[in-house]
Amino acid sequence: MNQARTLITAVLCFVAFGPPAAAQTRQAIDVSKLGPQVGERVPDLSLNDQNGKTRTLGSLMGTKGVMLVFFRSADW
Amino acid sequence: MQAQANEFAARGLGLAGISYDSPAVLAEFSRRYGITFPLLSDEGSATIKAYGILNTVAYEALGAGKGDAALAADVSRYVSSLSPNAANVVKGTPFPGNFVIDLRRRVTSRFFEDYYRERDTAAGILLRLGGGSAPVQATKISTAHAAITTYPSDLEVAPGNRFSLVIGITPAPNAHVYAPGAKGYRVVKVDIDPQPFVRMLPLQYPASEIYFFKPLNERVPVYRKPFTLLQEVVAEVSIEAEKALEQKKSLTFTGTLEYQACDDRECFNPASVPLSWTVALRKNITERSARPK
Repeated sequence: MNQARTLITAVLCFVAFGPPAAAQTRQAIDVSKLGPQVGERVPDLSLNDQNGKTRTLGSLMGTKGVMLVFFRSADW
Repeated sequence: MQAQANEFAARGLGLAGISYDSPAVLAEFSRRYGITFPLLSDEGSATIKAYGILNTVAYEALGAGKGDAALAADVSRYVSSLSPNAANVVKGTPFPGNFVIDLRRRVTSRFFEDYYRERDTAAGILLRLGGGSAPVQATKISTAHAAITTYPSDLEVAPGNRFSLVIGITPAPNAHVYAPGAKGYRVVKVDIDPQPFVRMLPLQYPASEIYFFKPLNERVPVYRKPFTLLQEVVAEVSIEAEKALEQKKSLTFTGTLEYQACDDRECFNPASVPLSWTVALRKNITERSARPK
């Protein structure tokens, strides 16, 4: 009886307050899962380069493609 | 990266950097370091977001979850291991990494690191893309059953660089050496002697072929053609590591190549070959770009 009551209380608490703290635990970042994966297509871009020229992926490609190097900053 | 720009071009690959800096900052940076390939200005980080690699940890570090232990680990990995106040400047930056994209905009390779201060060298990437440039500083070793060439991907590295120690092996005519998965034979492997502040990643093997040995009705994975093993190495970049590495002018790696070779008739004794590589050490660039007026 006691057990059943505890269970009911737990269920009610869950319904009332949402999942307990464990479900809120933050997922550690896994950079290998972020962004387009091998085989997937990347979005095109349109950005100015250091000479003020607007570039798209098409204008950056060699005969086979391009390597995009995302870096933090040139300023610090 | 600039030093290898021509090698990327030779493989038909364009090269472009992307950051949240203004075109003026990028122009100054290019002048200072002689960068000729395009550096793209993603002010506002719209492209970084569209690629799904915005550094969200910086925002978390400034948010409600500040005290969280799991978050603290990611903050030191992706925001700053040096300054607790860095989150504000890191906001809007990407998780650093590289995408290689083909003409149809499909990703063919990606290179991302688990720690923001570690980065693949361009030469290391070229090797992992296959081929790479002709070695500058190769050591050649001949044994009875194989010709071995070793060289580092880079002649000079800085703390935080991920680079490769390369072992090229050409089995003698009609001979083969055993690849991973071969049972009952000594599989080719490389052991590098450990040293402080240097981390070894698992040895990279190329695809092998199956060899059919009729007398034993046996199918075994082997290498018969010239093949290359890559031992990737990270020169660590913690405060202690940088301090220790600063005292040194170079890093020397020693290790052993072990393999067993057989030909169509007989197997030779397992062989053990001492190996060594030396790379010069340089400091990281830490000075700021001059502020454009």
